[in-house]
Amino acid sequence: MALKVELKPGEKIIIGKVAIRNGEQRARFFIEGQAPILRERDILNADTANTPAKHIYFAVQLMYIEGTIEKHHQLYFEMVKDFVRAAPSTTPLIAEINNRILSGDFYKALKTAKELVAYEQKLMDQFAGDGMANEQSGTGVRSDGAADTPGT
Amino acid sequence: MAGEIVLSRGIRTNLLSLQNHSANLEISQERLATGKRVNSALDNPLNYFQADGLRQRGKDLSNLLDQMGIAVETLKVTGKAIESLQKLAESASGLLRNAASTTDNTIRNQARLSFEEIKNQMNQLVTDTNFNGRNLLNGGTAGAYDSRYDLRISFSESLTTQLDVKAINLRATLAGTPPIAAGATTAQVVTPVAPDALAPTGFPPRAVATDYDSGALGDATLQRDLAYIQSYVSSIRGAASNFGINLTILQNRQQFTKDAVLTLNVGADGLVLADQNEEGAKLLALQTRQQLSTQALSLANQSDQAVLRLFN
Repeated sequence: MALKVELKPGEKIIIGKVAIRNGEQRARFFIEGQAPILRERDILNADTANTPAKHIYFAVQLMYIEGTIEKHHQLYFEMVKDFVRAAPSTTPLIAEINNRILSGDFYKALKTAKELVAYEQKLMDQFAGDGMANEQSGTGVRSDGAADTPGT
Repeated sequence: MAGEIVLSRGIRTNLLSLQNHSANLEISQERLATGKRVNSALDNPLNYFQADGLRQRGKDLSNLLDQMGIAVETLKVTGKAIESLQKLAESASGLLRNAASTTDNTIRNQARLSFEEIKNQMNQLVTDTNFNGRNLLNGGTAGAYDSRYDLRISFSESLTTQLDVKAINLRATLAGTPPIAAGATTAQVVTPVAPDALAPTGFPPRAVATDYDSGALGDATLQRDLAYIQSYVSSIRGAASNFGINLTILQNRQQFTKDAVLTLNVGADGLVLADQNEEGAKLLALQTRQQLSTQALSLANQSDQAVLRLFN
């Protein structure tokens, strides 16, 4: 079945081993056959991959585009192990990504990696939220600027 | 009422907190003794069962790893046997070429006897090439392809992806019967090698003459055997490279699976050790660490070689 794609003016997409940039008009086309397809909004590059989960997403993205695990295997697992040590609750998601990669289904692996990025965001936000809560409850630096006087 | 001790509210509260304290102490001691924050389903059911499930998945993958290990050994044994077969066939080819260049019937017929002997040795080698009861060079009965002899390796828990290494029958080829479809792979993850490209041409039936005596008939017999052994050498080369490709695929998968099992175990241990509330902080720390490490740099390097560079 053909995949329908619509591109905004100037929007980019990767199909197989080429990057396509749309002209000034909206474009609509159909893709038939098997090739890695990545839309601009799903693509991370070395600069935008700036969190641990995004690094993992980036590595999976490289595997997907190149259709090979071997080249990125070592680095991927270095990052995955660091990640799981920092946040063990992500292990089920990581396990699913691994399983998809092992099954050769890189696209689904990438989708799961996207969930991982969202989950990471949630954990980080939660931590930031905690920090603020602490401040409000007075365990942080006193907002009135008065020095804490011990022994009173 | 005599004998009854009435506790005031303040004392009761103190007692309760003491009891709580001693319960907490017990938990802490258990955690210290086992190194785990969650020791039973009662401590934290979600973490406990999640960790348990992860360990189970790790075990499932480990079972696959065992199979992969056996398959790797089988392919290694097969590769070594093919190497020896190649050497034998090459020496036979040398002998026959030498015989063809002389008219001395003694030398020619000695070559013929040696050729027969080498063929016997090759047959023996093919029969002996097995690991764990599987012989990839002696698959199927003459003329009929039989998938029971193939080596099937699963790559994932769901068993949806597998690599089939097809057995070939080199013994039948040597004995003069037509060969069966040879060493092709039909894995979903690799481009299969066309079976026909690898099929040894088979040893033609002996119809011309039983000796290599100088003369039209003997010459034709010698030439036919020479042509056969040469085509055997080239086809076995194809089979060797095909088994070699499969071995590489398999070893890569083996390594990936090993790392995946390790990840599952690290995660499961972490789940019973760690506090989910700390994860956000740890991830932020990891983010900072990664920015200073070479990981991001080598990722960037790898992406430079990919189509991604067109996006920058």
